[in-house]
Amino acid sequence: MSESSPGPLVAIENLVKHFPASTRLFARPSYLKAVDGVTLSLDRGETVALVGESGSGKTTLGRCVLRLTEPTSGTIWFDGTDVLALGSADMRALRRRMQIVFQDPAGSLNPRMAVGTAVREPLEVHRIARGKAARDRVADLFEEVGLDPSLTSRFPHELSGGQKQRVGIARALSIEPEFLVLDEPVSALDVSVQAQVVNLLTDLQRSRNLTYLFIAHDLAVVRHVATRVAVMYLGRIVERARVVPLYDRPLHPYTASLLSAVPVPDPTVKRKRIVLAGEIPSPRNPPPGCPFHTRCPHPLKDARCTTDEPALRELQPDRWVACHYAENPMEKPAP
Amino acid sequence: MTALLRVRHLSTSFQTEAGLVRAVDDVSFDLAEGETLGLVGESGSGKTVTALSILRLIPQPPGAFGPESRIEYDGVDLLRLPSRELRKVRGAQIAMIFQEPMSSLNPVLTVGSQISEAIRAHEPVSRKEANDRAVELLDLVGIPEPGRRFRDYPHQMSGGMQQRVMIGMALSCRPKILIADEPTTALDVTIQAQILDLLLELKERFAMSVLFITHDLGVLAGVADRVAVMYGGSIVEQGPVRAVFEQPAHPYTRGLLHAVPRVDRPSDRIEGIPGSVPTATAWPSGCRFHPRCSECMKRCEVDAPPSYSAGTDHTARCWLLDQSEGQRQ
Amino acid sequence: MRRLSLAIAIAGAAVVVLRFPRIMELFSSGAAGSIVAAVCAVLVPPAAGLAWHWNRRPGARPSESRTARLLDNRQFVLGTGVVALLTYAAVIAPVLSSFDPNTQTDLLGAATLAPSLQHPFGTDFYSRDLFSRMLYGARWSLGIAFVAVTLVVVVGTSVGVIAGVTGGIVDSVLMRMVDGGLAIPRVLLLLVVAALWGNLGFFPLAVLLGLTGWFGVSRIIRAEVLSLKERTFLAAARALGISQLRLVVRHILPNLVAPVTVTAALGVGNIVLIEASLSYLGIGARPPDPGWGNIIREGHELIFTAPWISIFPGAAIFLTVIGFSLVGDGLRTALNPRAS
Repeated sequence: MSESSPGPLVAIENLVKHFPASTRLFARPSYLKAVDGVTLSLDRGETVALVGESGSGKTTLGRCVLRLTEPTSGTIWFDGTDVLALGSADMRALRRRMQIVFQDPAGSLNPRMAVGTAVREPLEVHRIARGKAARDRVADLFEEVGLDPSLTSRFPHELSGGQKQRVGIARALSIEPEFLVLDEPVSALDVSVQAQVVNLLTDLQRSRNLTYLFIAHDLAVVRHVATRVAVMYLGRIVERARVVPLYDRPLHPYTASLLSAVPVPDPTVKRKRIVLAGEIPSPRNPPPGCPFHTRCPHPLKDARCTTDEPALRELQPDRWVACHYAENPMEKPAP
Repeated sequence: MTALLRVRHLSTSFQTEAGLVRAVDDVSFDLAEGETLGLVGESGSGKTVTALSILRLIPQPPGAFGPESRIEYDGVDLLRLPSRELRKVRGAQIAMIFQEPMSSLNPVLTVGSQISEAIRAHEPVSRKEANDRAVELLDLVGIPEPGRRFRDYPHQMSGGMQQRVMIGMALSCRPKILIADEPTTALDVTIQAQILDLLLELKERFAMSVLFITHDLGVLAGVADRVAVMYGGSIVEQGPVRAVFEQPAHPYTRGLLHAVPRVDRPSDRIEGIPGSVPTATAWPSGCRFHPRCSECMKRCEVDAPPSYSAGTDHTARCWLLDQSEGQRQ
Repeated sequence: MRRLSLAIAIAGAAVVVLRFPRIMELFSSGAAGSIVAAVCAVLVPPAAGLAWHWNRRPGARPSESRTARLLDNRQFVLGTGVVALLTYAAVIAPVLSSFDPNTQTDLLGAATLAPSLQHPFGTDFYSRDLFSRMLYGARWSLGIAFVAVTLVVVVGTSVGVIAGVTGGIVDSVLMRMVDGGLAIPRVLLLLVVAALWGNLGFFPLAVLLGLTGWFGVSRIIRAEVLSLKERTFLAAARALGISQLRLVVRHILPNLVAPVTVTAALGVGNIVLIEASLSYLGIGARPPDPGWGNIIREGHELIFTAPWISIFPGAAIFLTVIGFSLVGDGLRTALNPRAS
C-alpha cells in the first residue's frame, strides 16, 4: 500500500467535539465538551491506547477520527490527507483505509444478516470482489481470525460473544484497512476468551502491519497491547507517554490513581491504593483550572490548580504531562 | 468458626422451550460467620443463579430446585420455609445487592423513601423514625449531605452513588449475611475502589458474612477470605484465597489465572483458554471443562469427577487429583 | 400449520367434488372472472396438499427459526386459518353460490326466507340469496381492506423511514403533516367526499381509506428507525463506507419487517370495520352491489322479523377482525427476537 508520506499515519490536532446540551427551549445554549482540544499522533504499525473512565471522551474521540461523529473543530490528517475536508464520496473511499471494531459484538452486527454476508458486504460495496471470489475471500478471512468457514451462514445470535467479536474483526479487515480504531474490543468478553482476542489482534497487527487506536478502560489489558498510552480526563489528555515509563512512573496524579485502583489478581500483593475521593465531574460543567483539581490527591495541590489550566508539556522526550507539579510526581504507593 | 449458611447439593434448573436447563448443578459450600466467600466464574457459570437460589428469588416455574438441595441458615432449610417465614429472612437476615444499581432502584420514588420503606417492611417503626434511620444510613455509606440527597431520585445520582444507596438499603435491617452480586462491575475503577473499601469497612463494622460474586479475579483477591470457582454450573475448586491463587488445583483455575492480564507486571503475551464458555443448554459430557482442558484424559470425557482434597480446606473436582489405584490407565 | 394446510386441502377438495357441475359451467361461461374463480377452486386443494406434505417431511425447517416459532404459535395459526378460509371463500365465490347476488328471485314468494338448504343464509327483503350476497360482499369488503392496507403500509413505511433516516427539517415537516392528518376525523372527511362525488367505486374508496390511514403507521416506523439508528451495527455499516441507500435497504428495512407486518395485520381488521361503517352510512358499496356493511344496513329494519340478514354479515366482520388480530398478536410474539 501507499508508503507515500513519511511521519505519522494519523495525526489529530486540537480536536474538539461539543454536543449541544441545553434542554430548555429559551435557555442560553450550553455545550457538553466531550472532547476538548486533543492532539495525538499514531505512527505506522504502533498501538496507541486511549484510556480513561466513562465520560472521559475517549469513545467520542475514536468516532470523530473516522467521522462517524462530526468533530466541532480541529484537524485530522490521515497519511497526509485532511480527513475533515473530504466530501462524502472521497470520505467513502478513505473508509477503505480506516476501520473500527466495536465494544458490543452483538450490537455491532445486523441481527437479520448472516455473518458471512456481513463480512462480504463491504467487499461488494467497494467492488473488491464479488460472487465466488468474494465468498472465497470471506472464507479466508474467517480462517485468519480463527473461525470455522462453515459458520458463514449463521446468524449473530447463533454465535458466542468471542465468535461475534471475531466476525466484527473479519468484517473490519475485509477491505484491507491500514488503521483500526478498536473501541473496547474485549471489554464485553469473558476473561478466558478476552485473552484469545487480544492475542489475535496482536498477531494480525504483526502480519498486516496495522496501526491501532486502542480505546479501553482496562489498564491491565492496555499494558499488554500498547506501545504508547494517552490518558484522558474530561475530554483532555492529561498524560501521554510510552507504555513502560508510564506504568513504571506515572507523572500525572490521575494516572497514578488510576493505576493504583486496578485490582491485581494476587492476594499476597496488598498494595496501598490511592482511593480518589468523589467522582468525575460532569463534562457539561467542567471545573475551572485543572479539570482534575476537585479530586486530586497530590500533596502540592494549591490555589493555582483551581484557576490555571496546566498545559500539556513535554517533560521528557515523548513524555507529555498536563500538571503544574509534574516535576514532583506523587510517590508510587509502595507494594 | 461455625457455618452460618450451609448450601448442600444445590441444583437449580429451568424448564424452557429448548428443554431442561441445569443452570446450577450440585453446588455445596459453607459461609462462616464473619468471612467473605468469593464466588468467581465467567458468564453462564451459574454464580448469579446460586445467589438468587439462596433467597429463593428464582421464579418457580420455570425454575425448580433438585430434591437433594438444601440451604440451611441458622439450622432452618430456606428452600422448605413457608414464604411468609422466608420474607422475614429476606432483607432482615440475608440481604442482597446487584450489579445494576439503576435497575434495582424504582425510578419514580426518591431514594430516601425507598430506604425507609425497606426499614418499615421489617420493623414496626413510625415513618418519621424510618426516615431518620434512612438519613443515617445514607451518611453511613458515605453520601455527602445525606439530608438533602434523601429527596433525590435515582437518576439524579451517579452509578457509584446509586450503588451506595443500594448498600445502605441492604444494611437497613443489619443483616447477618450480605450477598453482593458483581456490585462493582458496572462502575469505573476509581469508583470500584471506593465501593470495595466501603464494603470491607462495613463488613468489619457490622461483623457480617459476605458472599461476594464476581468475574474479576483481581477484585476477588482483594476482598475474599475463601474462594469458590464456578464453571459450567458447578464449583470446580474451593479453598482459602491464597491456596487457590498460589496452588490452583484445577486446570480451569490455572487457565483463568494465566488469562488475566496484570497491571503490575509486563508480559508480552497472555494465554487464553481455547474454545468458548459453554452454555447451560448444552453442557459437555463428563467433566464440563474437558473440551477446553489441556490435560484432558479419556475418563474426563465420560465421567464427571468428584471432589478431591487438594490441601487443607482446599478441594477441586478434577481427575488429576485422583490418588486411587488404576488412576493412570 | 400442517393441520391447517390439510384442512384447506380437504375443504377445497370437497368443494371441487360437490360443486363440480358448477365449476364446469363457469369454465364454459367464457367470462374471465368466472374462469379465474374456477381455476382457483381447482388449484387450491392440490397446493394446500403439497404444503402439508412438504411440512410433514422431517427436518423440513430448522426448529429454532422464526418461521418455526411462528408456525408453532396457536394464535397465529388459528387467525391465519380464519383469514385464509374467508379469503378463499371470497375468491371462489361464484363456485360456491348458485345464485346471482343481485337477482331478485321472487319478490313476493321468496322474500325474507329463513335459512334453508336451498338458501343456506336465507334471503333478504328483495328475495336475494343472502349466501351469495355474503360471498360477493366478502370480495368487496376484504378486497378494499387489502388494497387500503397495502397503501397504508407502503406510504406509512416510506414516510416513517424518510423522516427517521433524514431527521432535521424534513423530519419536522413530515411529522407536523402527520399530526395534521391525525387531527382530521376520518369518517367526517369521507362523508364530505361522498357528499361531493356521490358513492365511490372500489378503487377510489380503497385509495381514500389507504391515504387517510397511514399517519399512525408512519409514527411507529419512525420511532423504530430512530431506535435502530442508535444501534452500533448501523455505525459499523457507515464506517465500512456503505451508502445511505444501501444502509436503508439492507440494514434498516429488514429490521422493520416485524413492526410492519404486525401493523398491517392489525390494520386489515380496522379497515374492514371502517368500510362497514361507511357502507352502513350509505357511502360504501353502491346498492344493489353487496358489501358486508350495506347488507347490515338493509337488514337493520327487519332485525326482529329476519335477524339472519344482519347476523351473518355481523358475524363475518367479527370473524375477520378477530382473525387478523390473532395473526397480528401471533406475529408480534414470534417476531420478537428476545422471545427465544
